[in-house]
Amino acid sequence: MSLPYVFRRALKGMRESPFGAAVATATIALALFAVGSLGAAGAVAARALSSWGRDLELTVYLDDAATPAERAEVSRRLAALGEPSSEAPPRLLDKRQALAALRQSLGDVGPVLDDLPENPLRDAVVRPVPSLDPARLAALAGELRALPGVADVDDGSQWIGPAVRLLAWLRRAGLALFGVVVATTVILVSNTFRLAVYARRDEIGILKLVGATDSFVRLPFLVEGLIEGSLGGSFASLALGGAWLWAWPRAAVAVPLLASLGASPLPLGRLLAGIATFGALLGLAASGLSVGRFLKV
Amino acid sequence: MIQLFHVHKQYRGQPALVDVNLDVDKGEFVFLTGASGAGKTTLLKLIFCAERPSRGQILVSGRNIARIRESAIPYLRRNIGVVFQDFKLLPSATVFDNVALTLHVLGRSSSEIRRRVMAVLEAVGLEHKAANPPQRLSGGEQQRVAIARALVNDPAILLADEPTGNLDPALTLDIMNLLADVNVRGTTVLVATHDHSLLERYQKRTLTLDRGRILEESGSASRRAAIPDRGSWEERR
Ligand SMILES: Nc1ncnc2c1ncn2[C@@H]1O[C@H](COP(=O)(O)OP(=O)(O)OP(=O)(O)O)[C@@H](O)[C@H]1O
Ligand SMILES: [Mg+2]
Repeated sequence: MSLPYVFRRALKGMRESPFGAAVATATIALALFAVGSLGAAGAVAARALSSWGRDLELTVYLDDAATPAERAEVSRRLAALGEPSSEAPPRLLDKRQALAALRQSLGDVGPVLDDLPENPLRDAVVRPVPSLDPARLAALAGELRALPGVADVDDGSQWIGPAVRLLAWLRRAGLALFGVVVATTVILVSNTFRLAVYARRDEIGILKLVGATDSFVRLPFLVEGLIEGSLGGSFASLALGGAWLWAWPRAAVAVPLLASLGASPLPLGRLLAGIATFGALLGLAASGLSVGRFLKV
Repeated sequence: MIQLFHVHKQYRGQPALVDVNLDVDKGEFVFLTGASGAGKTTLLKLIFCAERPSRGQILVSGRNIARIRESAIPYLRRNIGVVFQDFKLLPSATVFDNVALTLHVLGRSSSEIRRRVMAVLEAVGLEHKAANPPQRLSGGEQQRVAIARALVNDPAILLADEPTGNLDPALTLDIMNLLADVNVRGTTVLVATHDHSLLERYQKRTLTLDRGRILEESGSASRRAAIPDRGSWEERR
């Protein structure tokens, strides 16, 4: 059977039931827009969290009475973390420097600190720990806290831990929602195809009478699904692209944390192409489902 | 060409055909007659595999189709033209496209389709209506379109189920003459009808069905001795 003929028949089918074709296309477009927005929001949140994680530091505060050997041991332990080549080495922050920095950061009220009888701060060893997961970080902080000469350890994990857990939960919820939206879309769209098959049952009967194979009867419906899915996917993709270009600069202004992600934190082109392609597959799946089930002539 | 051996057909236990034996030669013209509900339509349906026999064997062009695979049926039908009382034309397509359907199914090129459809429309006298939708044609013309659709692929067999049931007497003769003409050109033709005037007028072999049984045969003398070679519609023009 010739491909142009199959396409002509698919287009004829769409012309003859424009309402069904519009409903199928709009359903796919809406669903993909919803899924796409959700996915983009999730991706931005994940990016934000990981960039926040990159700024994490492990800070070990030392007793004033800590011996040089004890201080060296803390530095050695911190240096041994992760892959030293790719990350900054631990640095010593002595308490005079820390006080000076604090004095400066307080600005006009800084000189108040000059009246203190003695420096209340402690010497500290600081090590950036971008690549450690929160659970490891907490365990490590515990070990360090037990070392002699260590006064306290700040690992920042009391913040990052819940955030990571929240994100993991959101991701699972997002996946579940994605599944529900996709399944609902396939069912809705396959229903419009069921109606299309029904509306054309006379034609299908005649085709079978003159010796059409099942695949000859089915192919135009599948092509129709492919066309409507691609259209719906493209509409969703365009709308999402437009919405993103409008919303991202404004979000970055409103939420400073997002601004650090840069002007284009998502692979927008790939994302939109993916959505259009997914729309085509969705249309194909929906038409295939109904044509497979309702074409027993 | 068509042979039935001890064919039974039941619809949910109700017999529609009982022990039917039949032998139709290549190039024959056969009338099937009998009261309403006698089983005429059922018999035709068995031949083009719209129904399966409950028992018995059916040979079409030497092939046993009683247990034919579902996927082989389309290919069988491409060698059998079928015409119904209600024409079964697509209202949304032109006369040309209705006839072309048969050839599109076979994946023929558009130039070949154009050629063969125009040839067969000329043969049924409708070449000037090719671009019209079927609703703008008279009943007789619509039936001629249906016959053209059935014949455009030069099938060996033409089955017609009450082809003139919806037509007035003048158009009836028109259609019957066309079918007789098709038969003269070599196609085996089976016509189900309960119009006795046709049986008398055409004096062809007639099978009478009564409650699913073949009651009597008449006019067998008219069985053809010589069968002309079948050529395509274009060659015959
Ligand atoms: N699809 C079906 N399901 C159940 N019973 C059927 C079916 N088709 C036909 N029958 C029964 O089989 C018997 C033969 O029907 P058939 O249609 O072959 O008769 P017919 O000779 O063509 O009648 P008519 O002249 O009215 O067209 C009838 O009793 C009919 O009720
Ligand atoms: Mg009948």
